[in-house]
Amino acid sequence: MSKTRNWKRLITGALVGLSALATCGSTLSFYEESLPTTLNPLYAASMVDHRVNELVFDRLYYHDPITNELASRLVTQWELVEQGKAVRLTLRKDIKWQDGKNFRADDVCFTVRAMLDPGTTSPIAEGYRSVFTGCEVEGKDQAIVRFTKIFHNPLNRLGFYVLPQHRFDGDAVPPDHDFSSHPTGTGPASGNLGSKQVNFQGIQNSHHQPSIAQLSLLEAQDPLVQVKTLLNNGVQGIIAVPPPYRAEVSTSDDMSLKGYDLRSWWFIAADQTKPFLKDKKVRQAINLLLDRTDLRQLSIGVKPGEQNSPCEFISGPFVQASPYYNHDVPVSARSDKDRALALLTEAGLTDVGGRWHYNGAPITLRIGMKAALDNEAPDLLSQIGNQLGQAGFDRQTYKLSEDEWNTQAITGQLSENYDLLIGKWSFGLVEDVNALFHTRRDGRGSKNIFNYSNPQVDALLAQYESAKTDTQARDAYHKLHSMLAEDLPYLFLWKLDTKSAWRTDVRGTTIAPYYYWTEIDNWKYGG
Amino acid sequence: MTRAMTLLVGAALTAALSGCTGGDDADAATAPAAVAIVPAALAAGAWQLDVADPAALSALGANPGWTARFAWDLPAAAAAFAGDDAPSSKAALARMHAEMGALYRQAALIQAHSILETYKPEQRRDGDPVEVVYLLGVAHAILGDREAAREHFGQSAGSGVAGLPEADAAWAGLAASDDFALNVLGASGLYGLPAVAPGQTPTPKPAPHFSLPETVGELTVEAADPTVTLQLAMWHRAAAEAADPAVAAAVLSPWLLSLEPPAAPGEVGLEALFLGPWPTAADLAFVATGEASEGALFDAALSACPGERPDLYCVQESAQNLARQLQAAMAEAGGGAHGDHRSLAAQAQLGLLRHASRRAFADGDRELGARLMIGAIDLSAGATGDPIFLLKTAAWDASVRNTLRAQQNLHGQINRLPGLDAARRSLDALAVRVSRDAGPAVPLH
Repeated sequence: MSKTRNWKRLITGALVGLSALATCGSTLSFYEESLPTTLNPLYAASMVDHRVNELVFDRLYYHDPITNELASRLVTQWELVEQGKAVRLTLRKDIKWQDGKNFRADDVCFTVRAMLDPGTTSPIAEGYRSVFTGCEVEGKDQAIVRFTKIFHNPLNRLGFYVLPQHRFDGDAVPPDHDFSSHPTGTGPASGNLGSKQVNFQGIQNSHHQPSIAQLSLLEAQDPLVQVKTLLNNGVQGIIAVPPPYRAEVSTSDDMSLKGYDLRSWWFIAADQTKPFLKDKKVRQAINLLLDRTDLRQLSIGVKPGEQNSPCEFISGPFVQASPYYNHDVPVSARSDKDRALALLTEAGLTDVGGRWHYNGAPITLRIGMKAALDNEAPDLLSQIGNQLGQAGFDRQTYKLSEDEWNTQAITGQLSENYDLLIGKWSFGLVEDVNALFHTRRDGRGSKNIFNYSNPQVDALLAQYESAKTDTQARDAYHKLHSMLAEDLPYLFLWKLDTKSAWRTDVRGTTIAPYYYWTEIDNWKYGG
Repeated sequence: MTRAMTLLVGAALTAALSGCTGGDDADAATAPAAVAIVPAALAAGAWQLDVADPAALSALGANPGWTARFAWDLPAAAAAFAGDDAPSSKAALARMHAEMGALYRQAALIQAHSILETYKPEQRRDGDPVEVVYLLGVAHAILGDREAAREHFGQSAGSGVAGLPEADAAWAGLAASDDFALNVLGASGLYGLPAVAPGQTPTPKPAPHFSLPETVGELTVEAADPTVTLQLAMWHRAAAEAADPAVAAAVLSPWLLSLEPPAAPGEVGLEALFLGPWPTAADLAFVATGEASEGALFDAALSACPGERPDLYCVQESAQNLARQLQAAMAEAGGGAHGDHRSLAAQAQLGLLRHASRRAFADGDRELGARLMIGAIDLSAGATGDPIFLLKTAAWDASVRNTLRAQQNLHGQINRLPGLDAARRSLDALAVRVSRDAGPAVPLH
């Protein structure tokens, strides 16, 4: 047997009915904000993790990024059963996992069970526990998914990524499983998480026919380097172009800016367990000491009064375009040092030689920021430090790695290390902020950075969750906005639009709101 | 206006244009290689060629009306043009009112689609106010479904909501007539606006217009009545027609609601086209009617993409080539490349994409129409940003329940004109409903 035939047999045996694209084609390289921390969709902690999911996996149902129609690549038929509290799904028979095994109803039900299993310590799974009660396999290609109650438009609740049962030993899916770095999906590309980059190989399947053979995800570098590399065709895309560099991209015929619909807002979390930050007057004073207009100009390059700015101040935990944003709460665009001084004095802080003291000791603010944000808002950390320093606070500034942020900051373990943490949250259609502000207990408050706890806030979050009407839900969040703007567990900064840049020789670059890569099958590059 | 002021304003327009294109940047002022996508004689008819000479652009910029229009400050532009009786100023004044009317039409469509998608029978929820039946009637009327509108009016006579029974009765009367669109302006029982006066911008009754009690709990839905937005659209139509009927008809023709009587476009000049997406009057007519007319660049450019379903990439490439051809022709006509040429020529690129999108939707090809539209949104930044188009996309997004992008595009335009915030109230109601229907999600970053 010739070497060629041996090679063909090996490949055929390995892929069983689905094929990797020829690797001699062009590789589409792009800069992400950072490397993903996991390729397991249940443990996606960052937007990078979240975007990558869309390449490797399929959601059971998704909204078409063009027409917004609810669609599924996995389901051929559905019907409501059990008086509307369950849905029977008939699955496609011809879909393979990327390791060649057949996709079956078992996998759908396994994913539901995994999310319901307390051993799956995933905040995403936690959210689904109030949606599903279980799942039953009815033959190889039919599953009945049962809901906790009758939902309007129940298919909208089925937007989870389907996992392969055969990769796991039981129903619990732990975060440190090998699957997190070497996943198996049914999506348009297989991926392996490396230490320097992530390579994806396009996979032909009956429901995906990507034309791009390989994608290479690179960790973002200095923004200028990113843009120059893009210009020189060293990479073909940048997921998030910092605002100061957008003009350069838009004036080039070789590159185009693409809108990425995402609701992102920036904040400074304040640790209220610190004695000198416990009194909300101190937090209010620090809020008033910040001159957001200057910060925005110095770090993002937005001039005062600039029209159509990509960066808009906020006064609460929503973007201004959101229905939950309370427009009655004013933003703080400029500093108000006189008011701040009065508040600090009322709170018992004393000015000794131009430095603020609490209980006779000088205050040193330890300020941290997720390092990757430095690309989007260069020098923001030092500019905030400078403003607080000029106001009389000693300070130390630190940049946190992606890992530190995801495993320690978000999990509420950095109170001893930091007083203020600068971060950013992103949302899609759902702007549920309960995980950020609810007291951390019983799975709630899973992203409460400094373990903020306020019974009144918890009550409003509960009102939102249990609201019977849209008005009740909206009313609860409007009140929450108002209360948080007063209590300031976060000092709210701004929303910042996200724009991608792609070289114009990459065609069909439709970017799905929030999910990004949903349309990758239609992207074309080279060949 | 003194000569010094004239120069200053002219410079402001030129500077404003330059500021968005890179202006004096040598690279930006390099004309691209000519690409002949349309015959040169046709290209010569584009408004871009009329302003290729920097002196010609400065001359237009001498009018503060055009400076304001460049910034899409339509009320200021209208006020500026109203101060001059010259026919060209009248024409420009009509254009400004027609464009304000177009903006209000898109806002009314956002409201209509949002109301339907929130409260139509299959989306109704326990607790929804009974009076949404009135809002549904207005929504159907705006979308041109007279029969559905008539079915919804006349059911709220017993409502205790202040002003609503009167509005319902007024609409019941209007809906019985054939030409209710124009009559909505003066109908008694509806909202008052000042007498039509070209150059003015009326401020409507602010939203919310009704507090509708929910049938569960004790909260009320603070609702905006799209009638007010429709009235504003009709007010500006009347103002535009009073200033220059031919320009009013031409500029409004692509934007008329299906419930409106058609306009009869006449001859129009540069005032109807300058800084806009349609390069010639023939293109404007082509966009409005969908039928090719002599002199239309779009028709010629799209002939490169034959077939019942033009190829997306072919259309996009044709649009880009049209812009390049115009930019090269402007350099030739203007005595050399100039920093403004790129962004002015890019208007035609966007115009062609928008036109092709409209055609695709009209042909029932929603996917192609949407892809072209989304591509045009990506190109709509800075000098090429067109609020009317952005609100149009928001209206379409509302119709398909894509509230994320709709809200973003509407939010960016909300302060353009008084009363546009009413559209946000309707869209917000839909956004809350859609988001509460979605599966769980956690904040990320």
